[in-house]
Amino acid sequence: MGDEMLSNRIRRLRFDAGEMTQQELAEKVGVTRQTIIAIEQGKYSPSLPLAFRIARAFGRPIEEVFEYDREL
Amino acid sequence: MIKLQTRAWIELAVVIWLAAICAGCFVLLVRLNSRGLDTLLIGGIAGLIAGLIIAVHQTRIDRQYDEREKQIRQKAFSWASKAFVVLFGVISFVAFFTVGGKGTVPVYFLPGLFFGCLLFAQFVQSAVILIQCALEDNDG
Repeated sequence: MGDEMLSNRIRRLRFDAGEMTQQELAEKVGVTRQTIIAIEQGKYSPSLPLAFRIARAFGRPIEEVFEYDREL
Repeated sequence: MIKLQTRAWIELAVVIWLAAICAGCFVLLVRLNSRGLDTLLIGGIAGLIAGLIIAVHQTRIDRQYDEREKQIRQKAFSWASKAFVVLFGVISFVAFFTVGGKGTVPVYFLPGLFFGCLLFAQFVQSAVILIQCALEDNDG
């Protein structure tokens, strides 16, 4: 089995949403700023409910925010 | 610094302070040739009750953490459990080979061993939390 990775466009979407800060996003979805940093950097893969909350915070479908890359 | 890190630093400081105090008291009581060992027993029971209260309080605090922090805590707890088992095993076998199969160890060695391993496990848990937070906390 190859490497599994969850990439995301959170940073891009934050800037598109009026330069939303990491802290603002964290407060919207109910986590700490450090968790948002870890997700943005790909160091932490969020649970499905959190991924949905993040997508809803940007008003986008989840597949526009997160992408599942798997190298076979 | 997030709540989890602050808590880990406090726990680390408490563990180090407690270990120093406990080790000092233990050595003192043993040197007093068993006098006051009943007090040690009472202290041990009080320590266990205090530990239970802290554990209950801890589960209430755990609800305040987000999912990543809970994951970090779970990993740290897993490492702490392993550290407890390994240290307990190592000390038991060292004692066995040092004293010999037919030798005996004083009874106060057992609670001392238990509390020592417990403190070490707590130390490992706090250290693992701090290390994991430090590794993930590069601001972007």
